[in-house]
Amino acid sequence: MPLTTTLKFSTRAANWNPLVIAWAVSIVLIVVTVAAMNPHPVNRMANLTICLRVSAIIIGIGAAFALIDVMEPTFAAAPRPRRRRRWIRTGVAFVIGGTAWLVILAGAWAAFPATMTFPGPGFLAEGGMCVLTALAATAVPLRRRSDWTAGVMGCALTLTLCVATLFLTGPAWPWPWAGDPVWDTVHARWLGVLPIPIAVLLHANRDVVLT
Amino acid sequence: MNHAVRQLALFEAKLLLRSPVLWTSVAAMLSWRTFGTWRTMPVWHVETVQTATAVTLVGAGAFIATNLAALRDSRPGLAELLSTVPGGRAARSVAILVAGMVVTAVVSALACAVHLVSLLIASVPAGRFDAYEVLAGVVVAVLMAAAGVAVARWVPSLIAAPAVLVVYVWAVFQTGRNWLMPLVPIAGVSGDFSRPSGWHLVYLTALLALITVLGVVRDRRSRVTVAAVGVSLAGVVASGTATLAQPEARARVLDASQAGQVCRRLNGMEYCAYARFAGWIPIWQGVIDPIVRAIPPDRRSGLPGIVQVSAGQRSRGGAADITTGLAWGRNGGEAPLARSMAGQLAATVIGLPGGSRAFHNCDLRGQARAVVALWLLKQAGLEPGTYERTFYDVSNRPMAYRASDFGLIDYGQAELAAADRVLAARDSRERLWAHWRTLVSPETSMATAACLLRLDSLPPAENVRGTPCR
Repeated sequence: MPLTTTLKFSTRAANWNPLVIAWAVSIVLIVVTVAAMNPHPVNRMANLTICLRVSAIIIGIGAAFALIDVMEPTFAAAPRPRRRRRWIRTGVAFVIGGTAWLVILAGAWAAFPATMTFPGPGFLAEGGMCVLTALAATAVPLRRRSDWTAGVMGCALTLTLCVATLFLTGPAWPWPWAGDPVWDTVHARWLGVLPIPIAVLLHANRDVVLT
Repeated sequence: MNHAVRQLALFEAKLLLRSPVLWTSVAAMLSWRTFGTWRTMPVWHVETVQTATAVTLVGAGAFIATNLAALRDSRPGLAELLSTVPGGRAARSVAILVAGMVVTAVVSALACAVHLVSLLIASVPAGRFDAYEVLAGVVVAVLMAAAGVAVARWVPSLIAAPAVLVVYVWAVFQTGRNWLMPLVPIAGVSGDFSRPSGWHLVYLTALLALITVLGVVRDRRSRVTVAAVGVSLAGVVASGTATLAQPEARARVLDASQAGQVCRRLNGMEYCAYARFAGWIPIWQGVIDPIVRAIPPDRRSGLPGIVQVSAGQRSRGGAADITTGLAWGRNGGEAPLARSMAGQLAATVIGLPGGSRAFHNCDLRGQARAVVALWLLKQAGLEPGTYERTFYDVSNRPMAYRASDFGLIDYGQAELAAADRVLAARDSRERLWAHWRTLVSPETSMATAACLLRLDSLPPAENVRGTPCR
């Protein structure tokens, strides 16, 4: 099957409901943040930053559910390798999930206090990392099971990792505010750890040897 | 509840009690809280709220567990199977609700109890114990267990529960002191601010009723269930309004227990603590007494008192008073606070009064009185140290200062070594007392001290850094 056809069918076959719900929730969050919360520039900056991070996490988890392919066990006899199917799914989920989050990012940019610089690249690094981590966390259990349980396990793993980052302190704290002098250093580190979920995905998306 | 539902509830309870999600959350809550508080002395009005906040973790585990149980109905291929069993979706909702709420109530109450008991180990608890706050934590956990079913019935998607959880945590910490939130955590330990905990508990109970009914009404729309929604909604509105109408919900009111202080004169020293912290006075006395005993009797008059202050009441007490806050440690965590308290007294003894609020910013290198102050701390069994303290100026620029237990006061290795040598001598107290007046004078140098105290071959004195202390 040519790539475009596989792409089309993959996109149609995936369950996008979780992503739609996560995206809707993110939109509610940003609307509430902008419309109902303290408009003082410092508060606005902090609230939008939290909103972007929370939405990156839940959109990542939502997109990860699109990796689940309940038909997977029947594909053992398919002429195409699993690796190819998995990477197409991963790519589709990353692009659609990422785009959904970019909409939130654009909203935050528009609402960001005019007196402050919007640190777009840093946020992009955070968002990319969150979405890729959720995808990787789901891709690993998907090697063993191709149903909803993999999505739940990926979700649990992602949330556990997120909670774990809250216990980091001092220079290891990964969630600085915009305008913090350590912003650039911290986000260079975010980019530095980006290969980790990609490596996990490379590992998880390999072909499964049937025994 | 008919027989089938009762059996189903029993079965769901067994499943829930085996749920790794629930027990992982209990283990996480207990280890986090117990390790986190192991070295601090419990202050009940803080610890009750913190325990209620932490037990949300157990609630989160129960929320995910009941949500997954209720989502069984929407799992592919199960609708056909489930259609053959007695009792519909509503019966299954009721069973999971009953099982989830009972199991969560028991498990979260046990987790709270275990944590509260751990707080009693090697401790003298202070502050006001508000049982409503702890109960509210348990009710919130039960509420989350019920919400797992309601969310599964209204939004039958696996993403719904994690999304609700993330948004819930976001809302709790974003809205701050909003008494309509199930949880109102406290950020700091600045004081005992009274909270409308009783009314908030009533509100939470009404909210629990509403969420429970919402889990059932989706599949069973009878006159009874719809009426139950109406009644519980009215209850939520009424109790929510009542909670918000409490004076404590509108303004931060310092509890009466923090208005007055209890003062006691023990061994010639005056100790003043807030009424509910008076149990700590003997502990402070244990720190101060060895220092006082090491001061020559004729120099003990006029020593400052020890006064407890809270962040909001920094002005309390005289400028010369030794101050301590609303916190103390246990299991070794008290060491820095004890050193600070003893250090403030030692600084006063050598003529650098002002307590922790004094901005000395000076260096004791080369001065004999540094040896006296360090000896005072060491002979009381405290190990003095210097460290860096950073303050921020008006334009938020960090300003680093050398600090020690005496305040913003630095000293060197030579003074420390001399204090060790004096301490090692059998007649150290007599040696110091014989020349006390000279030794505590700012004019006396280390060389004179070495001569007076018969200390030879001391390490060379370091150069003075910054302003010498006067």
